Amino acid sequence: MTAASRVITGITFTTDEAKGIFEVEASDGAHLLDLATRLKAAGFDHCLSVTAEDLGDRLAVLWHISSYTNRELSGMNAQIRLVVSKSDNVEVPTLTGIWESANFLERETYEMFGVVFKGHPDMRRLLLPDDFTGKWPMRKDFPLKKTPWRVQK
Amino acid sequence: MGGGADGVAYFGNLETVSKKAVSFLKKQGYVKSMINWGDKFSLWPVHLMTSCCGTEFAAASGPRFDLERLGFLPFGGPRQTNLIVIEGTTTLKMARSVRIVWEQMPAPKWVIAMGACAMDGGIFYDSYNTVPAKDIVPIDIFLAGCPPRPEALARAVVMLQESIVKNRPPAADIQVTAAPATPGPKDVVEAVSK
Amino acid sequence: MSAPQDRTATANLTYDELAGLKADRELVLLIGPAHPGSGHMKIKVWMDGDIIQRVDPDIGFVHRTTEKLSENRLYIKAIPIVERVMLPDTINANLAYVIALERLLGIEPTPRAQYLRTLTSEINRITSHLYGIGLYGIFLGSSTVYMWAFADREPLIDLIEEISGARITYSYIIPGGVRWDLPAGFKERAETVLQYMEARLKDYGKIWVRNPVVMDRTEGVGVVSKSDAIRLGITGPNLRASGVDYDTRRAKPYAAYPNLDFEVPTFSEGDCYARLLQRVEEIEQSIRIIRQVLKDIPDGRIISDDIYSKMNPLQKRMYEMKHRVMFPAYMASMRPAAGRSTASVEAGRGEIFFYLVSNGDKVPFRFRWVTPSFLNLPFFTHVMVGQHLADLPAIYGSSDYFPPEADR
Ligand code: SF4
Repeated sequence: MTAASRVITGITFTTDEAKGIFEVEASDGAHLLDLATRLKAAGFDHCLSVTAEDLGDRLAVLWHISSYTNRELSGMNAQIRLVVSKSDNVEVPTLTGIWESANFLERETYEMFGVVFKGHPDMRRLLLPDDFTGKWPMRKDFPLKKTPWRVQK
Repeated sequence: MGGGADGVAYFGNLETVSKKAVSFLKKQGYVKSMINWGDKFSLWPVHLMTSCCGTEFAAASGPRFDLERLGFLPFGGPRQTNLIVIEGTTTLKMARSVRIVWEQMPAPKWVIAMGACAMDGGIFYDSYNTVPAKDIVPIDIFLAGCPPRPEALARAVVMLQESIVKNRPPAADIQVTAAPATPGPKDVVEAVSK
Repeated sequence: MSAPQDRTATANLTYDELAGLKADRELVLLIGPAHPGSGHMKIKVWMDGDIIQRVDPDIGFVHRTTEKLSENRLYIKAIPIVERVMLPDTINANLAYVIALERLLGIEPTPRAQYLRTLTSEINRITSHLYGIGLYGIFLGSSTVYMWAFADREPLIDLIEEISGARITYSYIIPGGVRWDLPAGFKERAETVLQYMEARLKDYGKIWVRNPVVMDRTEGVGVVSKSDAIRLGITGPNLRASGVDYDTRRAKPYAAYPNLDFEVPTFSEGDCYARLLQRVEEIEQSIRIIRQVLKDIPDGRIISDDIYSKMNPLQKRMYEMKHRVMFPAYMASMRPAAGRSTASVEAGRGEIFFYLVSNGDKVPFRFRWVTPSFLNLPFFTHVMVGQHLADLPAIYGSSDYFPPEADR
């Protein structure tokens, strides 16, 4: 990976332009909120996606942000990444206070990865039935119903 | 006054007489075939979109394919309909609604399973959130394709009409039994029978 | 009694409990999922009189776990999966995924393939908008428009069927290019269809768009202000109808759009009527783009050299003879180098966002995508609040929300 970087209002993004990656890493919850506030002030006014990655013993929570009004920033799909250790209910701060559009996206991430967003106004299931018992379907240890018979890893 | 086949004569009770008469007449070939003829051209599917095959269902009801000429008129309330077209994947959540809607429909009722998903899972066969439609309601016609073309849907309707004219009864209700245990989600039976 | 102050107090109740909820004047209404308007979703509506106090969309009736499935399939096999989710708009879903994948692989498509992608994407955008307009007709109780829109979709579907061989699910775009070239005589036939479409748009104007009944039902209803649209993260035509001048085709250019001349129409009103007009205007722009593409399309291969060189001699001969790409074995065994990529594409309903992570395996390590309808969910929770119940279908239909797309 290239080690190019780009600085926007004092925040250094690791970039890989050919792949459309602009990433900034948050060290902990407080740093995350600080970063998000500054990025919002810099013109990132839209939250495109919230998701997580299962890294084995850790989870990386990702917020993808973009801009609707700022022509310079609107070409970027920037991402904020916060790595936390994996447990049944991982707790991270919510960014709905900063980007309201993260509301449903964070609910989905909670349902799929078991990431509890502290301070979210409405932390409930979204897509799966209420009595769905399986824990955190998008984590790597959650199996599919049947194993694909043609496609094996 | 009326007479039964068992040699019993009824007097006075008009209600019983008429009921007997109706059930007697219904068994007669000519009346039955008239009823079948009526059913044949009034297959009203309930407006229950289950998945993406619904786009082709909509196209089939549109002017180019015009399934209304076969008496196929999508309708809102399940109480006025006699056909469900299961348009593709049924998820755990949707399976309940399908079952409830099916139970609300008056008999005789038919089911067309449209698309590979409704047949046996299709492209989403190994998803943890889908149920094959055949585990939810009894199915009369399986219609292959992903999505089936509107012409194929028309063909399915025609086949259903033929089977009605031939006096075949609708598929018998199935026992909603436990699906093979899946890791994670509850068994289908609980999802469906609720 | 007004809306429940504590939003979570009623949130966890089951439907039975909700139905038995005793409140003075408050009524909880459950709409869907078997409803001509709502289709594959359920909407819980809390009402005071006939004013909507709070709306809770209960989605997930078509949640088919595409992300999980794609993380367990080969890269190439995710194409049909993403298509199935966005059925009225398959090319754009296909394109978004393939762009993300190409960025992982480091392949560039050829210029001709870029133009063909743009062409099919725009045809698909028109059919998607017509689908939306037709269903909006049903929502407002006008089956004429539904009939018209679905009839006028067909010539365009035929056009794209000529190129790709399928009515709805094309799987036309593959890494490195596209699968088929234009058939002979396509340009003339396309021109006929475009002229027909233009003439029809005038008719739509007369009978539907400038119809006083439609205007009465939609003007000033469900207004989304510009700042609200940005705050709530509305996307696509709905965003532009609120006056935000943002289009992914221009902001994050892809395919042949940087070379084309097109406008991004916007409206400032932000009501249902503006959203309707927005779709009609976008159809006009799409027609303009298709004309340009057909005029400017460069000659050359439709598949990049990277992929062409991996074909076997038979496949190469087939390609030279019929201009048709047969899959080299590479397609089934590609292992992008470890890395990550994102891609954004403007689909009929808004921006599709893809985030792919590869760890060098045959299957994606992380496959994340967000569809426009999902981002348009605030239409239920925010825009409907304070409106009359009778306006619910008008607002729902105007947002062009497609449940399978939102649930993924
Ligand atoms: S059969 Fe194909 S088109 Fe139909 S619901 Fe299944 S995936 Fe969708």
